[in-house]
Amino acid sequence: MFKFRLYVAGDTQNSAQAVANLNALCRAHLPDRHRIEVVDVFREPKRALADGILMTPTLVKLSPSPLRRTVGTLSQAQTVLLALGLEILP
Amino acid sequence: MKPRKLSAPRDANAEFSALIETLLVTGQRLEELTAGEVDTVSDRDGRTFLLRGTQEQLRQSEAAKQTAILNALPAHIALLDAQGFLISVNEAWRRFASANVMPGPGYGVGLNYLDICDRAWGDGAGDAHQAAEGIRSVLGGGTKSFSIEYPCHSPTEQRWFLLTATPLADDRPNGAVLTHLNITEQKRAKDELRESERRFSDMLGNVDLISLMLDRVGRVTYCNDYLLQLTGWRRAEVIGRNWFELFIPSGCDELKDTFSALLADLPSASHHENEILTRSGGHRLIQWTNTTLRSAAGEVMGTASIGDDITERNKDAEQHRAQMEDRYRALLEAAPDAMVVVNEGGEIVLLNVQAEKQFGYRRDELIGQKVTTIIPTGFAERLIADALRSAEEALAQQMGTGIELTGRRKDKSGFPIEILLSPLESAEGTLVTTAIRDISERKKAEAQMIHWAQHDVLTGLPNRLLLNDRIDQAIVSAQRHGKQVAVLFLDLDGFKYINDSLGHSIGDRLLQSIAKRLEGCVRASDTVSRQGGDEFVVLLSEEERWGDAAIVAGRMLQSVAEAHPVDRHDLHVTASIGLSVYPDDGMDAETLIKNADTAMYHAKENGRQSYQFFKRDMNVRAVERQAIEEGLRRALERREFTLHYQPKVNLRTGAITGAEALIRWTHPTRGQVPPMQFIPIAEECGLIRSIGTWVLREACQQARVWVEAGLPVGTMAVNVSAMQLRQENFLQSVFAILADTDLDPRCLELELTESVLTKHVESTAATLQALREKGVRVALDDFGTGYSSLSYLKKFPIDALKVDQSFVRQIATVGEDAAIVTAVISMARSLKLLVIAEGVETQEELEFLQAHQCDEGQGYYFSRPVPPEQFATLLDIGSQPFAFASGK
Repeated sequence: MFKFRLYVAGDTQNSAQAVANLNALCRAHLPDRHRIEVVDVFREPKRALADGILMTPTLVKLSPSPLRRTVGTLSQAQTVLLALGLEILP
Repeated sequence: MKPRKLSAPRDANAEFSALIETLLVTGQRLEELTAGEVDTVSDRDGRTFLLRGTQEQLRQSEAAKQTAILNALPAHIALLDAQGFLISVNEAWRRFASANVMPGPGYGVGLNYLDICDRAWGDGAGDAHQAAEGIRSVLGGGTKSFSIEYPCHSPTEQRWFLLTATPLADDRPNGAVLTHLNITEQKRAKDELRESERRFSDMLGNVDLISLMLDRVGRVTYCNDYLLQLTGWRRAEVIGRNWFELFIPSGCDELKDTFSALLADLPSASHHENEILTRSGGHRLIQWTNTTLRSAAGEVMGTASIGDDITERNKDAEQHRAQMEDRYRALLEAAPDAMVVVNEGGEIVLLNVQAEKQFGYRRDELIGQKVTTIIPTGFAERLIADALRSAEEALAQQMGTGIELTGRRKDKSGFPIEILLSPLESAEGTLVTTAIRDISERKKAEAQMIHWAQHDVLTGLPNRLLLNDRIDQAIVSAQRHGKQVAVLFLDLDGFKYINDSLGHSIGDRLLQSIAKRLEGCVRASDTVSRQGGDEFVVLLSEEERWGDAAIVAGRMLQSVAEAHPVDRHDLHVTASIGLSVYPDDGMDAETLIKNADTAMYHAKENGRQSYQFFKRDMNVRAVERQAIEEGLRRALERREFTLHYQPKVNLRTGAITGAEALIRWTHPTRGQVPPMQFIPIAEECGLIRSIGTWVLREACQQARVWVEAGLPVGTMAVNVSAMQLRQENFLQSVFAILADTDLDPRCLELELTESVLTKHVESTAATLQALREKGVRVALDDFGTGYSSLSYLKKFPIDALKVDQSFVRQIATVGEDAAIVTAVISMARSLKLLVIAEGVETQEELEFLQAHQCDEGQGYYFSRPVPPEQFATLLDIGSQPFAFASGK
């Protein structure tokens, strides 16, 4: 099971895009094997601070370890997968 | 756009954040570093900053949303700045402006709306100036909101608009929002409503009727002065208020349903009544007629009602109803019968005091109970149901004809009742008024009537009718068992002497004593009967031996001969008995009695106080009869007949109302022969016809003489026998005599016996009818001794009933219990016949008859039958020779 946490800033353009892209990526490559938590930094600024999130949108892969993070709209699926250290079957 | 990989190790973070901070501080464009893929950055304190690009995006998207919303609204909306310049307008405004007032680029944006209004001229200028004024006030912060309705007519249609101005911000004046709404439709509807209200009020403003209009939600849009007068409200306090809240007492929710029904145009709602409240909390009852108010397009816009204040009328009606109810109750209470009013469920709703008495219940014990409590017969319930189902039919069927049922008292005892039902329409639905009459007395009287038709009044013994019946039965039984039947004919010796010397009353009591003795001599299965006068006939049924009857006869003679203590007298009387035996001496009752009579005659001849069996050669009676018959044949020629007259007296006034002509025969050798002896013989041999004719002519002549002498003779009553009546030329003969004597037919009354009516009914009725048409009156003689029945009497045109003297005699013996007399009197009254009591002899009898409303009387108390010259004196005394004031 892959657990992700996505930090966003309300429904700003990049954040909204990141949410859409992550959902599409997971559906395509990790069907039934993922769980996504979205954290709005406007609503939970302390949590973002505690987690050391400096920019939105930021995606964090919580499991399987190791913990990985990437920033941006997640529009390049292959790049994102690589950045998260995920093996993708062709 | 190329994504940046930002997977720096932890220690790099601090460095990175420092960099960001530097960038922010230096105002470097962070977006460039992040290729525009990042929305926010946070500083080390957790403050989040929107990057400028994102800020711009957000602003634009918010404005786009607002624009979309504004453009979607049908109202024309414009934003004014503080000076009144149009800074923004929505799509609707733009469309409207381009088509109407403000054509040109920008759809008015950039123009000063206040200037436009100020510059207006012509028809709408006033409204425009007012609008400008209002908007200025809003822009200046003077007013929170301003609106104005104004007409804006295009060449093709009449339009109305509502302009509203509201400030952009509450705290400081920095512009205003204008909305501009086409209210033409609403306005038209309102105007139409107003117009129909106006027409309505013109029509109804000045009448004493409420006129009222409500809009669809029940608000008062119009009311006339009358409503205000009635309720005490002022118009301003009413218009616009909800009718139901202001005027309708609480708990009248159904009125709202009526209102809804009216709006839905249901005809049921066009009329109703309800109470309304006045300002002071009073109630008025209003009768409404409602209709709907419609727009030109036919849409229901409200309701209009005309209300009539019926409070007083209702009170009157209430009073009237109460009054009627009081009267009805009074009527019920006054009714002689028990009256019980029953509802459709068969429950008693009302009853009178007579009903309480009759059934032994208290009123409250019966109210609400089923009528079967007092009339347990299931039939009663059905009758009531029928009466309700078909009130008219039931009424027609049952009016006047009572139904006999059994009533039950509280103590469970039953008694015969007659009920009469009549339906009664009332506010509570159809009720049935039941008149219940206790007919115990009548039933008893009826039973007694039947009893006395078969029994001798004086002695209570079976009479000839019953005896004949018993003899016939005994013969049938004797035939079957091969036994004998004996008939004993007993006649007292010297009874006439006792009667004449000591009076009828003593004679009657002697007969009663003898009756008891005779009954003591026979078995219960035997029958002792009285034939009339001093004659008794005894039936001994099922005689075993021939000699048994002789033993009984001997016993009877001895028993009769013993002293009878009556009224301080010890009366001694003997009897003679004749016997006949079935089957030897006759095969039927009539023959057996006749032969026993003949044998009795022989016994008498042979010396008194003896008995004699009938023998074939006994013909003495026939000889006797022959002698009388011969005498009768000569009597007319020899003028041996005379008439005596007995007065008939009005029992109220004592006045003589007429006379009864009674024949007397003085035989040259025998002296006075009683009519009882010669009339039957005259009837048998047919001489009665010529004798009757003579009597009729003689009586009419006498009456005429008195009339001419100026004496108030009244009616002359003449006895007519059955044989006479059936003579072919009877009517002609009567009419001829009337013509010859020149007597007013109304002065003639013919007395017939009941037996006349039992045969040849049709022709008899026709004869009587012919007499009546001529004016001749008809009286029924000896009433109560024959087969009297109401159904018979109804068939004949009869004017009067003469109650037989045997019944009048009963008054003396049983006093108040002389039910038969009262029954006869009430029967006669019910047939609207005159009642004449015969044989009135005592003051007691007279008083009894007077108390029971007997019309007339005749008898020794007033006068014996007297010769004509003596009667004339009676007539001459005056109109009231027997005035009762003195007691005599």
